[in-house]
Amino acid sequence: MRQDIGTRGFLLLLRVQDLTRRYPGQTRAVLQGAGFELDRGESVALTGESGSGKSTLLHMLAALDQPDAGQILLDGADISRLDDRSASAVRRRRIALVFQHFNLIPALTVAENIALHARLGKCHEAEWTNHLAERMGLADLMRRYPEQISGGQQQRVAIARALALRPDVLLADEPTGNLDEYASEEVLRLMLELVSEAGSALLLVTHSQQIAARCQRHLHLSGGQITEGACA
Amino acid sequence: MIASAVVRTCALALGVLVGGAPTVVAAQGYAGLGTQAEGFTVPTPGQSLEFPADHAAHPDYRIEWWYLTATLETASGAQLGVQWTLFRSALAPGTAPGWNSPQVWMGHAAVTTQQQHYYAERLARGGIGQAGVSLDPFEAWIDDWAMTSMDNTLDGLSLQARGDEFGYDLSLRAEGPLVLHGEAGYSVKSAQGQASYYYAQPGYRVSGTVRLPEGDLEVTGKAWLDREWSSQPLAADQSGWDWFSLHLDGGDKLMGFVLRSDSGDFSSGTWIEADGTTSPLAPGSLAAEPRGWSAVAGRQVPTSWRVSLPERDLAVEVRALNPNAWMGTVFPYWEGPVEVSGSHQGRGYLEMTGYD
Amino acid sequence: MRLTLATLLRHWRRMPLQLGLMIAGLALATALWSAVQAINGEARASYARAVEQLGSAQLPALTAPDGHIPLATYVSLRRAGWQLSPVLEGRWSPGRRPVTLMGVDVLSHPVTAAMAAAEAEADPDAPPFATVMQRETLFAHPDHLPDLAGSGYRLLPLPHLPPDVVIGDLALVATLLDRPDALTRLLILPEQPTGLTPLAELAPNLRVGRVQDGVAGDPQRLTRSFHLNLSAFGLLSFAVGLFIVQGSVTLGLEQRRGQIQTLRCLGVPLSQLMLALAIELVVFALVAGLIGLVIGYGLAGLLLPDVTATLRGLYGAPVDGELTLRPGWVLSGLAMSVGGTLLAGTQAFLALRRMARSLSQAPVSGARRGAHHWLRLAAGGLVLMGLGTLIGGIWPGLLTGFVWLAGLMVGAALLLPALLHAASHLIPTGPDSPLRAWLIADSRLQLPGLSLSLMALCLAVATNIGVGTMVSSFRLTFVDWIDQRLLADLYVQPETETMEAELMHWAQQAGVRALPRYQIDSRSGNAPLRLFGITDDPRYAEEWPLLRSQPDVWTRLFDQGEILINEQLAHRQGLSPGSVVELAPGWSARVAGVYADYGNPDGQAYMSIDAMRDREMPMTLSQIGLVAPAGTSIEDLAQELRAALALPPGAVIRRDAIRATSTAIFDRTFVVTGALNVLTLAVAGFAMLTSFLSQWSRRLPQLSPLWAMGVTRRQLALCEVLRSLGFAAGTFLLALPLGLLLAWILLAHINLEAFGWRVPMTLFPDDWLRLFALTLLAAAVAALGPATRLLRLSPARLLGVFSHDR
Repeated sequence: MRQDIGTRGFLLLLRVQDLTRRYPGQTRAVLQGAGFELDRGESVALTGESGSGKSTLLHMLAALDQPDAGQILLDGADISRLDDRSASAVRRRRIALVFQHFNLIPALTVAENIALHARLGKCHEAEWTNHLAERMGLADLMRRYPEQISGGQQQRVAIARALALRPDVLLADEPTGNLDEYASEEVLRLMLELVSEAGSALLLVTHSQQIAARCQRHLHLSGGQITEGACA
Repeated sequence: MIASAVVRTCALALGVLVGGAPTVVAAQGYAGLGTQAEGFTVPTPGQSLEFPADHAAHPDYRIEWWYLTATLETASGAQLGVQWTLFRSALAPGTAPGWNSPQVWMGHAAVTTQQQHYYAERLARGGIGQAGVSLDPFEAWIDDWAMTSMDNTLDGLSLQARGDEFGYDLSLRAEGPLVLHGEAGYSVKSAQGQASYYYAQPGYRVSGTVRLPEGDLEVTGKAWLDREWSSQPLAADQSGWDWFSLHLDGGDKLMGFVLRSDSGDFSSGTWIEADGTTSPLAPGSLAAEPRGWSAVAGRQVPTSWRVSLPERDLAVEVRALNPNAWMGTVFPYWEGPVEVSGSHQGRGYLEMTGYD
Repeated sequence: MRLTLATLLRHWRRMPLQLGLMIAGLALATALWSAVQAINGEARASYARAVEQLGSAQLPALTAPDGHIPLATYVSLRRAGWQLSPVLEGRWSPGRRPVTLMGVDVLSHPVTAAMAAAEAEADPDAPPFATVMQRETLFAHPDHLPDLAGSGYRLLPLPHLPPDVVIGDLALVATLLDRPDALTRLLILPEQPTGLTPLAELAPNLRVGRVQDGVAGDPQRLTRSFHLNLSAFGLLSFAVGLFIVQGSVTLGLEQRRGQIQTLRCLGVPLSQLMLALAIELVVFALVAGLIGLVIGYGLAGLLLPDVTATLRGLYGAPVDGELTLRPGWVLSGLAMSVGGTLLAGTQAFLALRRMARSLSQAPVSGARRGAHHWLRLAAGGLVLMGLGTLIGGIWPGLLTGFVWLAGLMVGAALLLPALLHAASHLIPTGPDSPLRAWLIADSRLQLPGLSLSLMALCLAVATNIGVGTMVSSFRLTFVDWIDQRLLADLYVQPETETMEAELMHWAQQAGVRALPRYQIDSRSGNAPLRLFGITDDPRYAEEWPLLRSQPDVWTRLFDQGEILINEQLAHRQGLSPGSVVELAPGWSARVAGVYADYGNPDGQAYMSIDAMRDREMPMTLSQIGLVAPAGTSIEDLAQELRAALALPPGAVIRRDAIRATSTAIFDRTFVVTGALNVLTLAVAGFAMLTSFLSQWSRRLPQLSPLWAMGVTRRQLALCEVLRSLGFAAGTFLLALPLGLLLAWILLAHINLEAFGWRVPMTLFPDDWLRLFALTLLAAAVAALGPATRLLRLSPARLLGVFSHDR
């Protein structure tokens, strides 16, 4: 827990309180009163073993899934129990996601994919988008379709698309899990740089301690609870 | 003579003409020939025949025919028979122009060899010229079949017919006079009084060509022409008959028949001597009994006979040249050449009806 | 092998819906096809029975150019040995309605057997032909006997005679027609003697052909076009069904890619896989085929009464209303089903071979097909359309007309994806409408999977428009024509000559204009020709528009002995105003004008009654029309007339009553077309539904990211529906001109070839709107399934996409 209450009102972006999520038919809850906070512009890694509930947490943060109990306050407003329409609005404007697989719309070109989320959120800035593409090394691929570029390139497109929105928070679920070590390193570096350029917060789910170490903070999920710092 | 009359009438009752198997009502005799003769002229005795007028048709009588059979032989000695018949049947007495004529004509032609039997049939309406008999000169025809004379006599005839497998073209020359049957041509048919006018030319010499699928054959032999007309030739209970016309060696000829009926068979005939002298046979004096049967067209037909006429010391075996001489015409019957052996030798024609 | 097959088939246990759809699609297609075949078969069997009873249609016949063969010619041919059977045919009016009277020689005509049977049934004891030949008996269809009751002749029923044909012995018929020395045709009997002189030498002026087109002639000729139409419909439905099967089979294979590659790895040879797939397809085809036959049989039973009504009503062709199950029909239905399935499975076989050969290769994405692929298809389509047009244009005829249609239809179907692809680029997409941009881009991506069902939809819609336009045009023209032809206000058919005189007298007294019409039945150009004689009246000029005419046409008609001919005669003999036409041997007249005449295969001509009287040919008064003076109530006039002449109520007919009856008959005759239209559209909608559903599993990964980006499921569902609607709308836009083209060919070419008259084409935009709505409805219903599924989809399923490896 952090003590600097004075700046909390301004810096605090996301507060998660007592989050509990139980899957039907399972005796033990995946999340059991989990809680944490996330500041604006902060990059935080979330680690945990397979099946520990990392993805579940991420989905609830993105209002894709709802907790059985607890709150998720985004700028003080609870987004944990929104209807589809409001939840979609939150995702459209404030939260971006990057997954391990299937991030791109096959029907659209790289350029269209990058601009898509920002356009949906009605905050598209051509200059910023171009900048992102440039930085991600996608400038020459803009007219291609997803299946015409490599996996690493696809993931860069997904990240560029997420950041084009300048989301309050970028939720990334093992974004480099599908890539080899070299490509993974490169993508991660670019992501961290550009997240900070965009001024977005980042919650990066990973199983790699190495990657987790590159973030400003490190949360660990285990036994349904979240603890600060890298727990071995 | 009665038999020949009866036989030749067979096809003419148009009542059962078309439509496959005719249903023969027993009470009307074979082919309806025992039906009444409403409006038709009936033969009467004492009326002498007039030639050449009587060679032509008699439309006021119900039935009439020009009936020729020939026993022939090829150059190589093979035997065969030829039939040529023109029937006339009237639905009503008299004539009318065009399609309205009540006269209907039918032709039958056949060639019978030892192995094969070919036949054909023609039907025609009277009044339009498709069939008929004319004088000046004499011609009897149906379609392209014709019996033609150079003059108004029947002494010299040429004869043609053809079917889809056969044809013939024959010249006939009479070697004797016309023969009048019965009382100067008035021939009584039954005890009830049915009668016909009936004359014949039994003595033709024949030469000509018979065309068969295997080729043309030059033939010679003898022929017999019957002319008969009537309005009701058959008694109602008479159902069929067996009729023989035999050329015997030495020039004598025998025409005889057995008329089968429920009330007992009746036989009669005429003995014709070489010079043309005729002697009617006493009723019952001719005996004919079947000796051998053949399966023909799905029925049993006697194709071998023992014929005896004690008053002429005749006891012969009559055997069909070809047992399959079946005429599958509208009114089916058996008609074919026969060979005679026994007390007399010779050849002739046999006709049998009513074997259903 | 059994293991391979069992493994492959196991798949369908997990996909019961897909399996059901495929079987249903094929069954539906087989059902429509076999229903049409059953109907056609039934009609053909009926014609065959009729022809058999008539006994003549299979025989070649001799005819004369002028339609008259002198009796002497017949006799001379007979005397030359030719076995011929003479027929005399003409129109005869024993009662209200004229009939075709056919005289045969009962000694030789094939129909005689049927006549004898009728005789035997009527009176078992009577010698059959004595009565026929003694001028007493006529034979007619049992339904027709009451109409002839007044003729005074002995009447016997002959059930398979066409309606309006009366048969009798030549003797009677020649008398009734007063043509004792003429014949219409000579049938050449099957058995002929050897060594005949050729007919060309004996009778060089006679022509040998199949039985000529007497009114009584061959019903198959008249109805050929109708049956071709039905067959085309059936085939089209079947093709549409095959699109469904093609989609399902290919998809089923795609889904089993992993399974197949595993089997390959386990050493199952390619040939065995192919065989297993073939067996699978044949089994499905047989099952679907059997279901389809059952449905088809039921469908045929439902439709047959209407078809029978159509054939009887429109063509007067004899068709029994009962359906019989023919083994040939069952076999051909199953064969169509199996053959069609294997044909539709061709692509699957090719895919299987590709799949099995390249084990390592990643799934081939058939999704993104470049514009060049569509262009290639489109080029093929254009070639087909061109070829069809070339064939149809160069060789005019019924069959080439249908080839033309087929070329256009298939060609246009191939053109469709390219056009839709191109059209998708025309829709403006700004940066402000990312969802629309996605929708359009995504639709383009979906095109390959949907193109087949869209082609099916295109064909169905085009057929609907084409046939609908044809029928409506036909109907409009028909109603107009009835209006034009019903010039008078009242019609009376006088029974006797005295009545005729009384009527004329009454008309004069009452100040009513009478328009009598006399009639002579003749022949021209070896076909029946009906001549009408009319008196001069201004009403003709006022109310009878002609198709083509000379100036002063009515003056020419009434004062100069010229005539009007119907379009059929003009087309058949290549006549136009100013030409001279032969009306009967030794009687020719100049054509002043051509008028439209529908639903009638034969030639007609109108002339002034004076010109007709000059010929001294026997003519009958067919009707008297009465024109009421202005301001008189027609009903009152009719009452007055009935009272004055003591006529029964049915003897005086009002114009509007005739019009209503005719229109009702017409409408009934086209019920079938309407039913088939709806069914075809339903099958096409079903094809779309199948496509959508079969794409479903591929859709999720494409939709999930959007959902994750904040596009609601409702929006996504709406997009699904919108896309379906968009495709349907685009397809409709292509199908509309195609359908109109189809209608034009049907009306201007096929109808002309089949019947000899051209129907002016009218456009019915209201119908198009209705059809457009129907098409959209079908598309919406088809998309509704996937859309609802999307709405109900749990987030977990959507999320699952991201977390599971495929």
